Amino acid sequence: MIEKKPIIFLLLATATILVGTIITMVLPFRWINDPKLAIASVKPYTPLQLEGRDIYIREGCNNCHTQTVRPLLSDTERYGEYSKSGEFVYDQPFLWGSRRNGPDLARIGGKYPDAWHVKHMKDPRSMVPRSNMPAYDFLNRPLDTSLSEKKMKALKFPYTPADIQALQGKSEMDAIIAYMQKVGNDIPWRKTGKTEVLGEMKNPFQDNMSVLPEGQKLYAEHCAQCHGIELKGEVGPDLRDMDQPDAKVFASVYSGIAAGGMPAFGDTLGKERTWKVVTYLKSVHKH
Amino acid sequence: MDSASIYYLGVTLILFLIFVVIVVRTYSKKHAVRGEEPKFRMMDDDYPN
Amino acid sequence: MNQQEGYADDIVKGFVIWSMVWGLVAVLVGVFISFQIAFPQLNFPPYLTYGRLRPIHTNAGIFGWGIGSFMAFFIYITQRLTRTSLWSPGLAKAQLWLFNIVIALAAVTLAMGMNRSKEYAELEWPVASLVVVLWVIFAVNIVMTIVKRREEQMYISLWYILATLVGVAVLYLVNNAAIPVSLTKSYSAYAGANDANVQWWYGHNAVAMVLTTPPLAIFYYFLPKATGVPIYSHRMGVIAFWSLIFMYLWTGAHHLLWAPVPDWVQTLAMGFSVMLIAPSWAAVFNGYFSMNGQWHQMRENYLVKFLIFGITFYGLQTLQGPSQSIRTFSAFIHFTDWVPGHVHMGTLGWVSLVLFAAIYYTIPRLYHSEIYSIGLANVHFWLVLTGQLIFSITMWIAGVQQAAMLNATNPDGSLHYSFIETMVELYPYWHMRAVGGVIYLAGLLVFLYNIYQTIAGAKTQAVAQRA
Repeated sequence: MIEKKPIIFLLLATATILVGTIITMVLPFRWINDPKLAIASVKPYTPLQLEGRDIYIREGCNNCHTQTVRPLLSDTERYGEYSKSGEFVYDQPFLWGSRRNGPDLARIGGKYPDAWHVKHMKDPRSMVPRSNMPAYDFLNRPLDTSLSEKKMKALKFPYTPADIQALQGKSEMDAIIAYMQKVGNDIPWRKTGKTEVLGEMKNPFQDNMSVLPEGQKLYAEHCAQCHGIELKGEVGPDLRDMDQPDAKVFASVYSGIAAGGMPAFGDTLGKERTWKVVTYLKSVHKH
Repeated sequence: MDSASIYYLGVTLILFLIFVVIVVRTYSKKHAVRGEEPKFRMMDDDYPN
Repeated sequence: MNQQEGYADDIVKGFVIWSMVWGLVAVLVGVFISFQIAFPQLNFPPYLTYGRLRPIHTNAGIFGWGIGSFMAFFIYITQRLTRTSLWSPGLAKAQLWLFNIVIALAAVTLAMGMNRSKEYAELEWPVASLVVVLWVIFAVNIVMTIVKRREEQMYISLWYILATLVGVAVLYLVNNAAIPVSLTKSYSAYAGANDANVQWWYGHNAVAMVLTTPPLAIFYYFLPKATGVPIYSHRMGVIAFWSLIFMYLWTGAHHLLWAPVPDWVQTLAMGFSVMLIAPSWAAVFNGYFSMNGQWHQMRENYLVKFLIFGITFYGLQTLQGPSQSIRTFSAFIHFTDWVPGHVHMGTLGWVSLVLFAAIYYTIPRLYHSEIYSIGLANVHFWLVLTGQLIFSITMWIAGVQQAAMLNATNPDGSLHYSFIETMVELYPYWHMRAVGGVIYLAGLLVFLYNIYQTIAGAKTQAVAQRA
């Protein structure tokens, strides 16, 4: 019957395809991006951030970087608070990605200071020695702003003429870093999720010279990019002759200093290795 | 059981029944010969009729 | 048109040849980007970075090599199964031109960074619109040919062909909906989690409607042709057909497990993914049972070797896929190299092996000659098989290792490795994958040489006969 009537067959096949389509693709529009799930602190992109996002899309960053933190220990401990659907309501298109050749970027905003990003984009391996990220030095060219206003209008994002005016003289690098600093930073997860340092705050390696080589190695891997291999400071401050108790230094490394742009290394290093870095830091002097 | 789960079960049951009907019809004696006919006819199609 | 047989076959030749050209491009770019991952110095910004080349690799593979050869064989198969000539050979000729223009435009625009970022739907709206025109031309021609057929019943391959025509149309139109800003820039019509759900409904059903139903149509046609024995059960094919096209559309969200889309959508996707094993394996069994008493052909008939290995990889693919769509396993291997390993078993193992067989079968017939060298065809087979297995197995091991490292914790509950510490361990695997890719490329070159010689030989023969 059907096998003899191709047009009826075509209609039936279409209907068959549409069942699953309607239930799992069309119906969810009712629940996803529901106003009840909206997060008041999530804001649309500014013209500069949007231009940065378009550069991220143009360069295909989403081929190597995801932007979604799953509610799994290995994700939340590594990247931060898990992603909520309300955080993405202004994302057209979404940029969750499908493969992590590089780390997830859903919580990159505010993690590093701008200067870190500039250095890293220009020469990723100067900051992360064995990274396989391409160098994006060429983003130092001037930003093309001819479509900026049309883009804001197309997405119905609020802006002022001053915002558009402010784009003059910006580079593509400025734009993509403005975008990076916005990603995942709209919910106050860093304040609420601030790493708490509990337990005894006594350095287990105090005056233990045997851990200095390991501490130095960890410093070279994780800290030298910003503070310099000789601790003289660069993106971050000079660390020689630190006049601070061990526990304070530990807290700075482990939990970061949000105001100063110092990232938290507790997730990466764990307590023991953090103490080793602290021991090394305290051992370095100017003379 | 609330109405949602009855609805859910009902839809599942209907889908399963449609599947059974397709299987029974396809494998019925009436269709046995005709249902397998194309596989023989396609073996010799080098020239149009 | 080849008047001798009454079928419009010249256009089939055109599509086969151009799909092979784009297939070579896809593999060349693929090998290059596999080296870029292992040796980042090989990125030459702005045009030749991994981020811009990877979409060219996938688009050339799926649309250039895949769709191009599917168009060839849909036209070839449909005419024969309906015992009638193509409805409009002129339209098909226009379609071939448009096809090549679209793929070339896709490569150029993607290299320039005009990219919508949605996987397998990256093309900006003017190019995507041309794809729609292309598909409509194609679909009308095939459907009209079937309508005016001289064969009463439709063989199962035609069922899969019709489902492909309508399926791709629905998927492509919905997921490419965009808000244009200029000729070279647009934004997705959907936002955030909605966009993600639409994208992966599309993304996974591109696997269904491009990488499953067309190769199945081709497999169901060319296996009986190659062995000389009818398919085991036409009716089992029918049951599997309806189950397959019904269930596939529910499974897209298994790409979004643990992501912020509704839980029930994820659960449905997981359930239907597992259920899909049944119709997938019905096709596998249909292939295997057709070989009853014919297994000796695996030694004697190189076409059968390609086809049966192809359907075997399809079987493995459709077991591995559902296992990955289970939440716990997905939590482990998602975002790692495991997934490219899985994908390439499907594309290199299943789809390409079946297409190689179909090309080996049709090219000598279309040019009225014999294949240039069966020996070279065997060399081709073993090279591509070795290359693909090295690729996939290496990536599975890499994926499991990285997943294990990412999940490792210290006694105090903190994570043992930073991301970069897990990543640097992948370099040896990436070198190995590049080696696998080079071996595959070598196999492909042997194949292209064999086909080239077959066609060239046929032409000199024809000239000699005329003289």
